[in-house]
Amino acid sequence: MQTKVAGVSRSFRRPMVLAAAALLGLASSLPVWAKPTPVQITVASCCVTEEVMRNRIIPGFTAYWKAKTGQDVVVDATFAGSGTLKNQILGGVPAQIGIFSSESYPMMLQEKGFITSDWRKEKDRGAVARSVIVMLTRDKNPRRLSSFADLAQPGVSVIHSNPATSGGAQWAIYAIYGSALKEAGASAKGAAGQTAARQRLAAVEKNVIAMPESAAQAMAQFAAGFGDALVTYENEALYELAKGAKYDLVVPKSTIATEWTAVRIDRNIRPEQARVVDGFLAYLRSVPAQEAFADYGFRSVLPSVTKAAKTRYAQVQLPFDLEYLGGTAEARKEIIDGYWQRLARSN
Amino acid sequence: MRNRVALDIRLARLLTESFSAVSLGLFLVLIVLPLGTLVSYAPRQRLAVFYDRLAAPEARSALLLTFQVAAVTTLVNTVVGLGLAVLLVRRRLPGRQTIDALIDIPLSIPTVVIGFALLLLYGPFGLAGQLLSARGVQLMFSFPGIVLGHVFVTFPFAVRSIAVALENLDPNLEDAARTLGARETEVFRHVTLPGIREGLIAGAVLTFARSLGEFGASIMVSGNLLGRTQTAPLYIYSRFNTGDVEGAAAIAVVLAAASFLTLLALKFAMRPRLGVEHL
Repeated sequence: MQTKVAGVSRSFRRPMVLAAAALLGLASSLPVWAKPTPVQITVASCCVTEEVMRNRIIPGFTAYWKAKTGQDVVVDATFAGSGTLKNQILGGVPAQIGIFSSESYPMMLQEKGFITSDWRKEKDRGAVARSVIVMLTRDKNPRRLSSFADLAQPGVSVIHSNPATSGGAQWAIYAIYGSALKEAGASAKGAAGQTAARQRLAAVEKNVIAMPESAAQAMAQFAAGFGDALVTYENEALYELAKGAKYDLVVPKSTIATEWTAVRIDRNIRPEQARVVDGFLAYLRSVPAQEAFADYGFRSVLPSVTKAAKTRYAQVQLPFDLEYLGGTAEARKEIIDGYWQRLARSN
Repeated sequence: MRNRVALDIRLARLLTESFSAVSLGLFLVLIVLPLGTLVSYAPRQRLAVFYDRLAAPEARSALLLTFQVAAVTTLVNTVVGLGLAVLLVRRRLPGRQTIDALIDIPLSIPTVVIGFALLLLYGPFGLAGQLLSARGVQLMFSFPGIVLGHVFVTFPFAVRSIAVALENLDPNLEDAARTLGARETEVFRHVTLPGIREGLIAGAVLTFARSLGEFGASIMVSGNLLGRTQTAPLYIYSRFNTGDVEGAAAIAVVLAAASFLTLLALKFAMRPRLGVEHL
């Protein structure tokens, strides 16, 4: 009995000790408050940019900013698929800059009032990096795949990610669809062109064996041996080849040019962050940052950098962009939410 | 001194009670509140939207697939779990400790990694994949592939519940049956199985409930094709990402309700019946 009672009173002494420790801790952290804390900003960036952002651009910016202004900045970054990032920001993740794989995501943020500025008025309509959609095939391309039309051949198995969760997958679908238009030389509005494009998309989608959440997961499935072809970004393919994987990179005769759009999430920017946010956005377009993008397989938005790194990229015979398909909003409504969705349901 | 002891006892009681109150409060805040928010969010737009989302053919096929996968997974893991539990508890197996430690591994590996491991094993480069494809069988991106993923992820639940039940079952009962001339199969059917009934039910129900919500391994091995190989959690995730939060919440509520009802049924099935439990 006696020991138990002693135990109780001892457990009462403990909170006192804890409280004292907490007070001490508080007191010792006081001087830190007095010093000016470095400005912190958060960048929410699409998953395929993770390596280049982490290894080159963020460290490059902090050093550049310190040298230029003498101010310390802390840049935190979060990486996920563009759809996930958009939802995280809607849910309250305090990111001040977003880098998305398609303009459709900032458009949704704009609708909800998170973005009040207009990125389309920036240089290159806010684009900070570009790429094209390509195919990765098995070593030496045993199926002799050279265009998106070849992916429709019977017995060919195809992997691309899911357009509901992955921006890369939306581009893949636009690429397959638009390549038929472009090769036929038809205008996107023509009925004959639309029929050809829909037929090609339907035939290729029949051969799709898996549609994982993100471009990275699609790559993992392909690496595990599934699929004759993976439809993905050129930069992802180049990055994988640089790591020593034995695949063939096939640039189709006709494919789409993609771009990553950087935007300010105005609602999340506190006054003291505004200058750093603008500085970061400008830095993304600077020569060092663009060279970093190019080193990781992206196509630069600066002609001079693209020219210097030209040997890395294959020439696309018949390139086109989203404008060719009617612009971001129209293409999404017509091709992804419209035709592709109906196709997926009927399969 | 006497007063001191009385005071300390009262303090002790106060402490225990406030600890219970804090625990209950934390349970409400950490578990019940988020669930409640989900349930109240789903029909926020009018109940009609809720029904509309549930009526979508992809939603129904995703739910159906999820329940089918959960049922098969539960069957497999309960049978395999029973066998393994008997081996671990009743037989002096060499390497028993190692197997015992391995069983819980699925709980601590990211499920996406589990999915990737299965893809490697059953893929065109994997040992199992090559053996199977020689016979024209392709497991991944199909129903059996999804079941394999779920079996792996939910594996510990059945084994652990059954093993605990077996440990609590006095081996003397089984020995007594043997001395009375019962054959091993009879001992198992009439003594062991009824004795671990509750462990079996608990294991099965936990497996089923966990399988309903499985996401990470499924996304790798299922193929995630709308209306075909997309399970309900994957469907929820893709609805959420397209901005259809109501659709995501509607299916999530169905899953949460199904899993709540299964677990509740477990509680009733497990209520001790007097005189039967403590032989």
